[in-house]
Amino acid sequence: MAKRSVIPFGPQHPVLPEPIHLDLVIEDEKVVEAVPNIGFVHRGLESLADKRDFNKMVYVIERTCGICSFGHGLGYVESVEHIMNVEVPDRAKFLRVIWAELGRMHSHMLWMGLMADAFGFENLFYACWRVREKILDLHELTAGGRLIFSVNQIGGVNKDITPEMMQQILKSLDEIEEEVKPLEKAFVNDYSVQSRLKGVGVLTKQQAHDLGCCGPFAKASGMSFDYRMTGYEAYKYLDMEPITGTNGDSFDRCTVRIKEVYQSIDLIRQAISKIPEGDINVPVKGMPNGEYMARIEQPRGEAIYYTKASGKKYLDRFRLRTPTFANLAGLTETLKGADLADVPILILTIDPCISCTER
Amino acid sequence: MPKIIIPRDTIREIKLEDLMENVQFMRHSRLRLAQICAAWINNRYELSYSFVDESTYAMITLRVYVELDQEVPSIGVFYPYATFYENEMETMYGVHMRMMHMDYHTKLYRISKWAAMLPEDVRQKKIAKDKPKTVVPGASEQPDQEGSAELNAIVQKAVPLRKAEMKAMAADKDIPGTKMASSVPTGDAGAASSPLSERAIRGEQMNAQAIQAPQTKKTETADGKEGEQ
Amino acid sequence: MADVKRSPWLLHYDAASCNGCDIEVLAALTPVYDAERLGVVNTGDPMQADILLVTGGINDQCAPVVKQLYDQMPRPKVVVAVGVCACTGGVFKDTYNIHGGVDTCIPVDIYVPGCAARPQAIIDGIVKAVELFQKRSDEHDALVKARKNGGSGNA
Repeated sequence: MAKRSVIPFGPQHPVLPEPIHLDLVIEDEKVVEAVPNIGFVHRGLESLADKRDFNKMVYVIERTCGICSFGHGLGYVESVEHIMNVEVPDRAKFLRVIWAELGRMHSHMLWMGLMADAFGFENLFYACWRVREKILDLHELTAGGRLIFSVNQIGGVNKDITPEMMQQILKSLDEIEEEVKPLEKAFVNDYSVQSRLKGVGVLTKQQAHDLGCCGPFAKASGMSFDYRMTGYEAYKYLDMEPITGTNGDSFDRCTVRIKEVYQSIDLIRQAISKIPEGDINVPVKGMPNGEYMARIEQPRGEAIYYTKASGKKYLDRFRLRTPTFANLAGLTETLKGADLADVPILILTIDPCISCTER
Repeated sequence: MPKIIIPRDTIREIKLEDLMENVQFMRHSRLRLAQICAAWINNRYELSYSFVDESTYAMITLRVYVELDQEVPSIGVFYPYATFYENEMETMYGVHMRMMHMDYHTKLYRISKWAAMLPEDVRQKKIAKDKPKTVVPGASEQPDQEGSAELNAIVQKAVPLRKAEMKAMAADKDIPGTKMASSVPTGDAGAASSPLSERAIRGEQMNAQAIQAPQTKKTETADGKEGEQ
Repeated sequence: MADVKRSPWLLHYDAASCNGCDIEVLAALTPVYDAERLGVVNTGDPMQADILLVTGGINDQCAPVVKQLYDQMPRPKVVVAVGVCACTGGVFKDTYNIHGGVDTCIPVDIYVPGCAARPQAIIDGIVKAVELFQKRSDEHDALVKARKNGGSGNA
């Protein structure tokens, strides 16, 4: 008779930077079932909605996650602006797009480095993060901070990008593109990487839809769903198509993310060429009253920001649903039938951001 | 100009009795469940079930108003991954959920304050009422209540049975008296020998391990033979 | 830093952190702000580590984990709290789940503030930790020697 045992995975693990606990039910070295146990990073920040007024809440929401920090601030500000019927000037919309795409690029380079480290390619891990430092230098040049910079406010942004800074951004983007190409070749064309990733953790399009997956995890299975197509902020003036994969295995998830880096570079170039002159914010008066669910496309998928207010200084309810929370079910499905040695790789292919998940 | 898709969002208010029908309709129309959110506004719960259409990017939200003590059925039959959202609602707001197929028993996040997002006076009222969790809706006996001596006996015997299983696995032979080999129960109740003891074992694992551990240790140290039954 | 005798190994654990300080800790160990030239190596095994870097505040669920990691590390050891959340609790101090900084759970030697703490500040903290580790290591050696000499007199 087959023996089953339960192996605890995490919360402290050399490969994953964040604490997540999984109970893996193993039968003869193959994983049969995985039960996630989350909550190590739960800070309960939604309870701060009745202690900080709606203007100061931006600073709390931005610190939900350090990697997707600009996106969280953007989503919160968008939902409150929709409730208060604030019309943001066009220049602010383009600036927000530039920072959001820079955030996406740095998140994907970070992920690529961690993936290479999980394989044992430490040199490639260091090389990817060295390219990432250039993107963080652009953050610091334009906004003042490396990871968490509070640029969003209700009514626009509070810092401007001068034309000299834009020339510097374009120059840096050329250098970054030149440096990402050999890294991509080293990663994607390598035989050992391909043999470890191809055919592992396959999720068909129907399965991805039934499990409610989103982001590059679902795009690799063929689902063409990207919130930037709805044209929020300045995306309606920019030209893009969602990138999809064909097979739905881990290799496709890697190539989708690397192609998104090139797509982001292209979008920033388009935005810089089309940006208009004007104000960067409008003054906002009054209290919010109403409810709205804003959705934006974070680097990891679809994030939903639900705000409900009733005319007071403090919000009634704010809830943030992050993409990794939706991908947890997909993770438990891909782990079924995998070898024990593949478990860290599979967890990394969903690009987990556990501090986003548990807020 | 590039082509953009403008989504249309709607919010529909429904009654709790019609929840399962509406969700079945959403599943039939191939919509994806996006989120389930709970809020405590105006002295009642407001639950929002949001569904997204993949082709038109539209979001349809079902709004249900629930009182403090009402029980909400789980929609895990149609959307299996709804269990994470429902467990989170139970942990943070104390909404009583029924028939979830992966039940964390209010311990999805192991925080010391249960239902911490409720205002303090409401939270005290909820804890004071101490409503037991109904395992089978409408059953006359529930475990851990007075008068359910038979069920309590089954629950007590479950723990030493697990130890016998583990010893048998170590010696690599058949476990006497049971057909199942695993000590970890699977999600669906169909494979179990008896659904009540399955939930009891899971509840022991997830919730009451700290309470059970001193008991088992006592039986071991007091009498070496008592532990193995 | 003229007479560094031993190269201590580093263990990094993320308590309830937002990842900002964790990514900066990893960035401090990669090429541009290289901390490995000081001799520290990032390891994943608590029994082989000398310096513990903790980021983020402490909540109910991770307090026993941090305590267990601290107990598993052999003496002499140094604890560094990176980021303002690890020092005092940071922005999240008023929530229902955060107890406070790391010093509500284990004794802390060095505090590195910042949100997110910059790699330059983290390297400064690591340098101070290496010096402190030298001092503790020398004291530990002296204690062991004294005990051996004193103990060899007895049976």
